[in-house]
Amino acid sequence: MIKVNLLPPEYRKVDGTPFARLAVTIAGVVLVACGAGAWGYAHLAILAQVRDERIQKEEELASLKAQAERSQALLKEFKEYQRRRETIEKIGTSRILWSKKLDEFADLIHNKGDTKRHLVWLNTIRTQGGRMPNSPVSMTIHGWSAGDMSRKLSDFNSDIKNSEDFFADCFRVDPPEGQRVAFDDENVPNQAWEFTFGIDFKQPNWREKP
Amino acid sequence: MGRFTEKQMLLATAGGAVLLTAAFGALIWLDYEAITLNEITDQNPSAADETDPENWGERRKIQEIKRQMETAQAEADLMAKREQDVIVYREIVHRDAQILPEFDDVNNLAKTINDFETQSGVRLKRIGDLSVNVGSEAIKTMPIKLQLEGTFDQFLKFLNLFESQDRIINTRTFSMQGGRPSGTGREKVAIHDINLDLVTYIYTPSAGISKPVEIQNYDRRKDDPVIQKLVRQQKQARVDKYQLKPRINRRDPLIDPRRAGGADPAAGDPADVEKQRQNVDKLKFEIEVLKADVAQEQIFIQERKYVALASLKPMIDEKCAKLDAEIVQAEPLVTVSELREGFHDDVVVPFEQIKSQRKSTAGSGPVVFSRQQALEFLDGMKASMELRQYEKALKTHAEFQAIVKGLEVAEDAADVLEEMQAVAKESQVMIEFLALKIKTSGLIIRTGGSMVLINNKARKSGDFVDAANRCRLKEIHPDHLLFELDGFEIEHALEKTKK
Repeated sequence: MIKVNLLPPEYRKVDGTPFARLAVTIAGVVLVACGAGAWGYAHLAILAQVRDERIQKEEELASLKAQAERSQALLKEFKEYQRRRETIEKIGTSRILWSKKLDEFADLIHNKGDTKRHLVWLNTIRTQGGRMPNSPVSMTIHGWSAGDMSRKLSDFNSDIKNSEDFFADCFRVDPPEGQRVAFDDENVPNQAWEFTFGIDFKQPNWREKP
Repeated sequence: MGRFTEKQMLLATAGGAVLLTAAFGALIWLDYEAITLNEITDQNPSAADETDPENWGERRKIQEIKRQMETAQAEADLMAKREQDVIVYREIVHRDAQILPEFDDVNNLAKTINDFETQSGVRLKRIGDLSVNVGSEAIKTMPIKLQLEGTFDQFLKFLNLFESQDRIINTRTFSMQGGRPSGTGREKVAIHDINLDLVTYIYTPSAGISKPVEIQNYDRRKDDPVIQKLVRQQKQARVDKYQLKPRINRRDPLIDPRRAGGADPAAGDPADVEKQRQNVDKLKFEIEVLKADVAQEQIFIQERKYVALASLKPMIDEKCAKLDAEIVQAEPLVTVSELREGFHDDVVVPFEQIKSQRKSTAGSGPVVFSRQQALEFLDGMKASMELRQYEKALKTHAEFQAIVKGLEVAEDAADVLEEMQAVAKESQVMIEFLALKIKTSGLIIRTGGSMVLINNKARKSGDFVDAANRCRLKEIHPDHLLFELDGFEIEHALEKTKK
């Protein structure tokens, strides 16, 4: 049987949304809304909070870094001043008072006018770098010990070593080696022992390690 | 256009919803990654291996920031101590840099060298290498190379003048080449060739530090006792110096000392040498005795034994005057060089030292002379009086007056001074009385008026017994006579046999 509805369309009975479509639509909308809500929470709440925390920490770090940089600058300046102080101290303590040493050495040679023990005169005195470890400087003397006795040269060498004032600042003096020479001038004695001694000086304020 | 079927519509709706939900899920996952990517956790310790910040999530970034903060905090925590260290070392260096020449000193170096040349007598031949070493160091070195000529002693003095500067100039190296001597005997001199390498230092405080760290309230903080203590604890850099003393008759070690031909011109006549030796030995002995006396004098000064000091001091003064004259007299007579050396070292030098030492301690007596110190003198005077040593009592009083001259005597010692005056006066009177040499040779005691023979003259009570009519016989007793002199009554005992 064929049913014919002769009512104009606006008077006809309207069919409702089919249940299946409605159910699917509602389910879809809920699902999408939940997804959007979850994303919104993750993005706007959790991520934003973590980002805020990070920004805050970065600001704290910037402040701390400024302090740390100042602290580092202080350390650098301290080290520079420490280095300067060490340099000044080294300059002060590394000083050998050569006027003192030469004065003492001239006393040794003069020997209070006693010419019986030795009668020495020099041709050159010069200083140069150290010849042995821990010795910053050495002094080389070249001269003659008047007389034909090598003992006098040896006595002079011993007097250098036994001199409390002069030798206190020295490590060692070369052994009393020399060569006999004769003079053809009118002076007496007309023989002498020509020698060259090196004397190794200690670093000023040097202390022997116990 | 055809319409969707119901089924198609259902599928499209469901599919669209699923797709949109999946898209949100993906966004959520991306956010999760942005938060937790490479976060270091117990479950994921290997995340630490990832060092590229691009691959870090927010939490990892926070972890890294925290780590940097810890490091920065550790540095920042040291700031207070470092500020203190910097203040301390700035002050130490400021203090110690005083031993280095100032800029003006370096500029004036040429003038200084010329002054030293004049003072020492050397002759400068060349000044070179005054170039400051280039560099960023705060302390730069400046070498000074000098070529000069002079005697050994002149060179010593020249060198010593540099080494006596308050601001350091060091000797690097030197060499001396003995010159040809001229003259003879002790007059022999030689001008030596000398090369001298000196070095000095220039301190530039601003070098090596781009910008000094500003420390608030620096001036106040540097005066803080803790800082000052720390500065003091660091030993101050110092410049050692040597006081060069002129050496009389020490020969130049670069001059050939051998004597010409036969006799030693300095040796002279053996008898004369022996005489010189004896003279020098005698003076040495006298100096040793004087040294002992002066040492005793110092002990008296330290122990405030002014009575003993008062008697020792004039004695030493007298010895000094005598020795002074003897030394002046002996000086030209001691001609043997070895004796001259001993004469200078063991006589002249110690004598001058003694004189200067005594001069410096001349005012070491008490500033206020106390009653106790005055009493010591009074007791001494009284003891002398008891022993009838009137001259000694007077001498003690004179010594007292000499020692208190220019000093303030304590107020409570006024009575002691009065008593001392009285004792001194009494001593004086007794000395004058004894000078009359009263000698009794007869005595008559009778009620009408006793008589006595004094120095062979009959005297009765009330008679003067001296020419100046100062000493009067006041009373005559069987065993003694009573005289009056300058207000003092003096009892004169009579020997019984003479009665």
